[in-house]
Amino acid sequence: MWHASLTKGVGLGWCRTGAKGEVIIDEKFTLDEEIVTKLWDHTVEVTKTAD
Amino acid sequence: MNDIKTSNAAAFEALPRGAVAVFVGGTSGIGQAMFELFVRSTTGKAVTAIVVGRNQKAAEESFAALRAESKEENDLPTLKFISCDVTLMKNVRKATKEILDSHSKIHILVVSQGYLTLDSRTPTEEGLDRKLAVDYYSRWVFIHELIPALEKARSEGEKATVTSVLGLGKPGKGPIDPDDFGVEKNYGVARIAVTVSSYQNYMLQVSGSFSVILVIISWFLGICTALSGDRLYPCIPWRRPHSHHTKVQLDAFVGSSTPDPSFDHLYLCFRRDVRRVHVARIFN
Repeated sequence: MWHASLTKGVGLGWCRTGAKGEVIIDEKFTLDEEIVTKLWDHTVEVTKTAD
Repeated sequence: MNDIKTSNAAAFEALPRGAVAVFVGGTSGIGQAMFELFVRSTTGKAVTAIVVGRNQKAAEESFAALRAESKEENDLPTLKFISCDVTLMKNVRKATKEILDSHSKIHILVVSQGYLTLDSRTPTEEGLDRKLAVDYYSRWVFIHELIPALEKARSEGEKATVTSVLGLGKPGKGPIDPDDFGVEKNYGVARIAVTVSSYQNYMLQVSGSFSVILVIISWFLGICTALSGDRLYPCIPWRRPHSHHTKVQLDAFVGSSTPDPSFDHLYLCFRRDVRRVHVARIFN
């Protein structure tokens, strides 16, 4: 089963556990800050425009 | 499973008296299941559970069933329904205002609204794609608008969590086009499904800066949960005309011989200190 985890200030974790909870994959990664910012700005804009 | 149930019971026990929970999309599927579990698990705590959705009849039936089975005479939960078509952001903001007008603190926010479709891009009157509006934009607005109430609860030392029930995107691998966030070009069922999940990952990343605890359930768990409870299945648009055949296949896939087994996992979403026990996990 796939899970995602967030840790404030660190970013996302990406892991997969088996049927008994055993860890199969455990990866950490960070998101592209530029896309984070652009998507945020886009979302603010279109939801405000639609308000 | 027993460990999970024990853990969940402790999580509900830790909620303050008079806790407020909001369930967007709580009239069906996983959202309804989480709403009902919350009410059943907090008897005697005088909690308030607010269900936001379109189907008032379903909400009232759910409320009536919960009240009928309640054995408490005092401190009964307050159950409210707010009608809201979340395809329109003006409706979402109206709903959040209604919530904030009567509640300064929120302890649990569950956003589980979803829109299954095989259609091509379908703009709302606000110009947003309908699926993006339901699955992403409305989630963002609900969380963003209600964060002050969640933060107020946390600032007073009480638990406050946000749970988003949606597919799990693949960060860094999603089809995000920074020049076309609204997916107005190259729209496709597969692409939009992955896109909204990826957007959610980014949304959670940013929302984390607000010190709100966030949980994401894997799509697989979500589908298993919904299908095994026969809650989502009637909503699947492509089930006809082979509905029985399809259902049999789905039942076999998700193993629905045990009624609603995955619902118990959902309890974990109310916790912030559980890690990797068949479900998501969390932060701070």
